[in-house]
Amino acid sequence: MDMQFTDVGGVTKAVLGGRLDSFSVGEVETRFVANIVPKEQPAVVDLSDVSFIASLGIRMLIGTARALQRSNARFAMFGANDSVMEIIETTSLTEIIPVVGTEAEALAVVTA
Amino acid sequence: MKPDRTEATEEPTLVLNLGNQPAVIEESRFAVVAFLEPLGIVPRTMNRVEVVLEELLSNLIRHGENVNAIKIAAGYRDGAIDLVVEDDGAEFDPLGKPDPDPFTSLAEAPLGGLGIALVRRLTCASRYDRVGSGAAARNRVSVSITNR
Repeated sequence: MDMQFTDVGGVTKAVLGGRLDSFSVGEVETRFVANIVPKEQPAVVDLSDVSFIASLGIRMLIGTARALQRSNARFAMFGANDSVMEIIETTSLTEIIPVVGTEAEALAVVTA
Repeated sequence: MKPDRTEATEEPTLVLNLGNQPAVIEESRFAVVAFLEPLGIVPRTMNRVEVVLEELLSNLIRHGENVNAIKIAAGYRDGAIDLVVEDDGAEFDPLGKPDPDPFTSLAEAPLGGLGIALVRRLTCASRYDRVGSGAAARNRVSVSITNR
């Protein structure tokens, strides 16, 4: 799992690439959380290059969004492919974290 | 005069016998995907298979007790993929826990229990059986996933 972090006008943008399965989550979760939560600012996650997600990946996203919410900062995701989106929807993640089509939409959601 | 020959057609099946180690998830995924790919499985269904396999095996590795051997079987019949995950560990029904309560906020969202809930929702059938007895006793989880 590849990860890149940038700052887009005061919003943390995380770009993930590859599989978010039980193996990779164990390897990347600490770095993912450490690059997002302490900044206490809104965050968006680019899922365009994520090819697979399972429950541990979903848990990582929920935990990070929840921790960020304690700083009153919003969290959104964008660009999920159909397979990834099916898992996100099946776990009802879309009920609590906005998942939109584009980066522009995600930035608009977290800065509104 | 040629003899009347009726060839019995067998549904394709895959059987893997693996040890209890983290690599079992990756090994089984590669083998199951390679087995299913020639059978016309649509991408959405293949992803469901991979997720279900991932959830059942990671759950077993994390929560199973005294698991030394894991057997995975896959088959395709009547438009559905049948998966069986069997282990020789202590009696353990991963399907026994109920799904997490519905949630509408981040604060309420569960961090656990999502994996088996995914298994139930992505499959058209799932069941647990304790089969055999004594040293031959096994936990067996069987699921079916419709190819659509």
